[in-house]
Amino acid sequence: MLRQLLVAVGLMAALCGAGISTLAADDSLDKAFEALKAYDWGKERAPLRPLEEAVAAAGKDAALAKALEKKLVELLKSDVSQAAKDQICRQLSLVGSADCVPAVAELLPDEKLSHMARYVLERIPAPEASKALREALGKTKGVQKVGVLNSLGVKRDAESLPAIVPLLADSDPQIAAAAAAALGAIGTSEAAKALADFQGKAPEALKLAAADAYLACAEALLAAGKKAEALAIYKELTKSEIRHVKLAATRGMMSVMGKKQ
Amino acid sequence: MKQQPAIKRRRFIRQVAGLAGAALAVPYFVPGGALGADGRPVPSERVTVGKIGCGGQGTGLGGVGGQVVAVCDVWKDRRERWAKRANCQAYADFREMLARDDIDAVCVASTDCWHVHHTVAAAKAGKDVYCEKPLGVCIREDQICRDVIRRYDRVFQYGTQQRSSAHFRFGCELVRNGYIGEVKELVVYAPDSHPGGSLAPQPVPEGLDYDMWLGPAPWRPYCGQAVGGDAWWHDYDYAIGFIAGWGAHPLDILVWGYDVHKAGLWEVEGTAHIPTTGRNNVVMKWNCTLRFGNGVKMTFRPGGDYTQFIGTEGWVGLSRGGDRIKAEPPSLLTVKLKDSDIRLVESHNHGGNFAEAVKARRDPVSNIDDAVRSDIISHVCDIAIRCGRKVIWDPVKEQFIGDEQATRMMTRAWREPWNLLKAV
Repeated sequence: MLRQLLVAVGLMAALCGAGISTLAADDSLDKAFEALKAYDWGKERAPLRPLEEAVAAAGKDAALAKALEKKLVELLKSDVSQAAKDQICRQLSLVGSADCVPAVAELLPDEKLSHMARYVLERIPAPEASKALREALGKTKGVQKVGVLNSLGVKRDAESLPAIVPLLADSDPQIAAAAAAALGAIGTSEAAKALADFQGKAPEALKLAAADAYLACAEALLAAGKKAEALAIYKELTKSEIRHVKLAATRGMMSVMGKKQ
Repeated sequence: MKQQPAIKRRRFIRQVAGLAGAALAVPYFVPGGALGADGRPVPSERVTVGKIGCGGQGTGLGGVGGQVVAVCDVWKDRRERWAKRANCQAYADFREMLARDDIDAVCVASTDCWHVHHTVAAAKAGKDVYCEKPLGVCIREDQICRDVIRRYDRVFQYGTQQRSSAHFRFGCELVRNGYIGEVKELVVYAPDSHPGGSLAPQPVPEGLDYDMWLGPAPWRPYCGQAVGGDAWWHDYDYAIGFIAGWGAHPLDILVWGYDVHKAGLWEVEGTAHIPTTGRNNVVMKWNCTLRFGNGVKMTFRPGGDYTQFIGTEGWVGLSRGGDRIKAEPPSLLTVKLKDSDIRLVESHNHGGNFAEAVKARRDPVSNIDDAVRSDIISHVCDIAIRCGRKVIWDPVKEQFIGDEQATRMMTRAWREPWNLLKAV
């Protein structure tokens, strides 16, 4: 199968002209996968380069991307080193689809691989990636849960709201702050309601995180054309005891006033 | 017509080692005991500065026009050396330093992958920021940085100190005011990245908080990458190489003189060599061409530090060394600007300009919008090279058109718990 892949890659290279360098016209992709199986920290990355080039070419070749993804997932599920899984995730972040999500999501609670799993899932636009992150909120703890919250915020996953809102009351301030930040990034009317409630309840150490998330939420609402809701947030935050938050809210009010409906 | 100025090796090494060249004019710091004598600002008028990053770049930047009152570094010896020098408190964790309410501004000279994280954390803590270039390690970081700086109305100075040299300003003013006619071509050169470095794991040096050094970057065993700029400038996990790290300077001059973001869609293609042995794995020998929707063509390659604007009636070439400003016809160099001509912000001291802006609550000479614009050029070129094909970039919507893989490269997940969405 890899030889067929190689033909596709070679054809792609011929059609597209110059790539990073001339793509392999021999069995170097097979060898790259073999090298990946045995890869570990400290080893040179040169043997992996044909794979990286194939992944780049797969950006415009759906069939090639599928074939590469399948092979990468097989390896990810096998007993390869952390370093190999790190490399696999880097490639899946560029060619992965919904198909690789189950295998990648398995890594989210793993303290050594959770970050690289998010490296993949954040970049995959398929809804399955967001769903996997959402479900991981119930399977992770500590900084891994913080990471998952961060990714849901980056993806602005509104469907995760019911799972995130209760985390505002988490006893771990890192988790509560990450939940607030995610809600601010999601920036829907429902997120704004949860954050409004959080302003009064947030412990002193989280007041700034709460206000910052609320400001971010106002910006998102304004960008979505919800001027009145954004204005209400800014007005509320002009009463903040934090000087620069008050300033930001005042500036926000001015921008709302200057923004046409 | 086009010229590629040679950069002398010794001068290049000096610049790489210190970059303090242009920053030497910046006062290191105002001693804590000074009472306003000898023309110094009285304490109440001084900008108090916290430094994040006390290595080579951070040392060269000194107090960026203010008084250093706190220092932070993940290396114990560096922070303690600076604390002794500035007679101030040293911090291992920047969050503790940012919690102080007697700090007006922060000078960020940390590892590239930390630049935006430190800048955003400082802005969210209500501090103004002088940030060493380049900006983010991905386009999304640049955008978040701009959003947060504007959200809190913070003063942001980008460490592109060439803007504080008169000849760069004059050259850009010639272009902005049409003295070279209509711009048709842009030529940019920046010094190349280096191969090298080892991937072999080794013990973490005593006095280094390696986990904090890595910060948002992917974990891997320590392999000597934290010992100095040249050990990580060319490692893709912590930077994207001199296509941005040094490219920031000539590209900054480019956007000062010409609005690439108003030039229509960009068609960008490029080739490069990416080292396959050793630790360093950023693009080298890059050769990028950008064709803007308005017909203007730009090339970007390794060479000296050089920006050339070519118009229908002449050209201007700007560099920090050698022939600092060249033009054709040479009479352009004696042009007296008219009162009605566009004038760019005048600064003769990058740190001083920052401190003045902090006090006056205005944008300094190297503002956040231009920082994002120039850094995006580096990233779009890097992404086109890594994709191995032509990509189309919409500079108004700041997104790629019709290339999902390129779009994916606009972001990188941050290692937990680090997160740009969250306040410190």
